[in-house]
Amino acid sequence: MDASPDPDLEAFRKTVRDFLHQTITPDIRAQAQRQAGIAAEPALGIWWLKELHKKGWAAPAWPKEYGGTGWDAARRHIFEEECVRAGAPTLWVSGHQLLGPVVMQFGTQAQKDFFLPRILNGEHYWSQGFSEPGSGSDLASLSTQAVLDGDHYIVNGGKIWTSHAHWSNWIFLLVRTAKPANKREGITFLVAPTDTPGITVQPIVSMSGEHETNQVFLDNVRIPVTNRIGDEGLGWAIAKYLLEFERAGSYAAQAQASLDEARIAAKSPDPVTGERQWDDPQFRRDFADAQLRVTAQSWMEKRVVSAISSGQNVGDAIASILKLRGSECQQAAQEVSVAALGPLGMADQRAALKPGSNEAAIGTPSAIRPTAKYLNGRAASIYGGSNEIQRNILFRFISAGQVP
Amino acid sequence: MNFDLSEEQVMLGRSVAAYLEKHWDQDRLSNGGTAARRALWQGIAADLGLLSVMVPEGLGGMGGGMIDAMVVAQELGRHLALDSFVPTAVYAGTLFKTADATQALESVGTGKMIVALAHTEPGQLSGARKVGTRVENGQLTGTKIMVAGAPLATHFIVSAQEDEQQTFSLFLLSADTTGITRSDFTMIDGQPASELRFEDVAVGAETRLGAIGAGADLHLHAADMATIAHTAEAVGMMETLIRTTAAYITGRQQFGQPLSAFQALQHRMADMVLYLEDARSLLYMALLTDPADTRAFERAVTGMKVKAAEALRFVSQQAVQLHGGMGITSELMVGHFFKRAMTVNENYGGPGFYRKRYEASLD
Ligand SMILES: Cc1cc2nc3c(=O)[nH]c(=O)nc-3n(C[C@H](O)[C@H](O)[C@H](O)COP(=O)(O)OP(=O)(O)OC[C@H]3O[C@@H](n4cnc5c(N)ncnc54)[C@H](O)[C@@H]3O)c2cc1C
Repeated sequence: MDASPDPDLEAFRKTVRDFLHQTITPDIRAQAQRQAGIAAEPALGIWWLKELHKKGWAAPAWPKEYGGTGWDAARRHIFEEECVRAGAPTLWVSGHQLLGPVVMQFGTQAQKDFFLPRILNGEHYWSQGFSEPGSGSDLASLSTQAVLDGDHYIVNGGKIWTSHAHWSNWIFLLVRTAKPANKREGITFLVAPTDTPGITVQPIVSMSGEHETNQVFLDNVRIPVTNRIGDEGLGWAIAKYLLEFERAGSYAAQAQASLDEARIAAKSPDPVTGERQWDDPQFRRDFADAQLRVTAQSWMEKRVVSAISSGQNVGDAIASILKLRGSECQQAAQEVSVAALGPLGMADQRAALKPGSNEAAIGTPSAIRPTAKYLNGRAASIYGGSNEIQRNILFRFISAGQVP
Repeated sequence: MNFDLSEEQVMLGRSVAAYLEKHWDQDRLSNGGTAARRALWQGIAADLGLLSVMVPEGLGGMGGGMIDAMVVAQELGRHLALDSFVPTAVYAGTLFKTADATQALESVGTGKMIVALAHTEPGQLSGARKVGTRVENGQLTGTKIMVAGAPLATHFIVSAQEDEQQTFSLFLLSADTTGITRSDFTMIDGQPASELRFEDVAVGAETRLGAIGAGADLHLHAADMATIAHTAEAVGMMETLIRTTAAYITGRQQFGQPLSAFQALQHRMADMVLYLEDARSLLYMALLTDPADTRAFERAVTGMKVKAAEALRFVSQQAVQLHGGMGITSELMVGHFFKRAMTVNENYGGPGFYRKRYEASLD
């Protein structure tokens, strides 16, 4: 056991930092500060993706042959950490984090040649059409139908919670092509441009007032068979493969950023008395509790990253553990960052929460984001497999004797 | 011992509920903004005379006490309605009573006066006994932020420093007084609010509530009374959240069975009820503690607030969680309750401030 920094990795960290220092200007940072959703709006996000593409860093997790960086898990983690620290816009992940690996694993050569470069350069902006009104946690019960008609599928049904669908030009879909007794069979993975006739996107506004997600209606949508990824009936296996990429990810850096904001806010003295919230034992205890959650998560991430980088099999349970503790520590940190604002945290800042918005903050600029982030952050324990479902999954590993 | 409401109090609760069911719905709450709130306020003041619950009969009021206020606030909480009731009827009502501001008390009772508290300032910590707003040569100057309900208010209660050495004084100013500039915004619970700037606003001695420097104590007592009413509101909110969530998980099917069949969710809902009942017990304790016994009263109110805030936080977070994706939308009531839960908890200094006071009261 040894926690001393690896010189190669530290050199890599410095390269990343230098690049971020040049690219993430104070103006970009300020714009990114005005984003409180899961990811930055495309106006900002696609700009960032293109900058990364120029540098060859658009797809940190992809192998080199497909235009990725070929970085190992340790480097990817450092890259993510540094992006958060630099205040870079949060990238929308459906294309390079979710669909990309699926196409590499299950796609035809033609599909790889067509889709992968267009994900990399930001030309295709993807949304994920998995959940349905009747099928959330029980995703396998999905009922959107696809019937083969010559060389097309005719798709009828609908999706919900399709985030960024109103901005995306492509969507990937899980559809039902057969109704066998086992509902996990008979699911197929299709992709379609969102301007295909019969696709209608309707906004869902979140409680913080943002429009980030949608309901998508599919009405006699014709999708060519060539836009099927993998064989008919392979959809569930593909979805499971994809969800592993959705559940992974680093939470600690994001959560730490919220705590760092909270610390700064709490240290500013009352102009009348000079007292600081930071010196309030009650606040400090809440802060410390959140900090310990984040620190534990950070070391868990280090352990996992190190094991993966050295080629060890970390086991599937770890994805659930990371997601559970990650979302929990993030929510705790966000809660503290709202508390640090005191009454100011109760202002609705949505007018200022737009990229490029010049709308002044209510109170101080540092008050723009934490509350909306906290409100949106409640979704982190719901999406990507809810925390209740993750605990069910974790127990399956426990009862099978695979954990601990 | 008897924890039952009187017949009149039960009737009062029913009439408030009936009125709200008819005149207040979520759509007006989300989209109606200030206009809808003003309309409901007029209705409630004129039709039900609710604002006079705590005004003595001699001044044309209903002559009730905190229990009546609790009954009303709890109904308002159940329906997520009318956020100016507690600040006006209970906070200002208590303040005016304590400071012998009889005329003001009368106007509260008739619904003519709607009050907003202008106390918070940029960077101010909760429990502050000194403020940056100052009165010099009879002129008040300063900035107040997060003034909840200000765009609806006819009057502001303003904290200001008259003397370097002392704690602040309180002033009652008409909202249209020369020298007051308002810039409006909305709070996360949909309440209209403002930042207020006071520039050389003339304040005569007749606008002061109580003595010079007495404001901090007057405020704390009125805030404690208002906190009891807000806890009643919180209890009402939790009741609705729990009922709505139980109905939701019973009605929604996943994995071929209702969500309510999953034991993890049953236990979660059981915990929500446990939190609610803790809060209700401590609400009754605070209600039934004599405010004249200042030590016992402070311990009761602050202890109640600590547990009630914990309860409201847990119940509202879990209500959202158990609704899945639907919980985080602005379509369902549960998201609106969630945001109101945050502002109710933050009122008058937030849970951390009350916990410190509770811990100190154990000494
Ligand atoms: C902000 C946001 C963005 C999203 N983006 C996308 C997207 O881009 N694409 C997409 O396809 N989907 C997306 N989702 C959907 C997300 O994956 C679902 O919300 C999630 O799977 C939960 O489904 P549900 O909302 O139907 O909740 P339900 O499944 O109805 O669950 C309700 C509650 O019951 C609990 N529950 C369910 N089953 C069990 C059980 N067996 N045991 C114990 N408890 C249980 C849940 O944990 C939850 O608390 C998004 C969701 C949100 C909130």
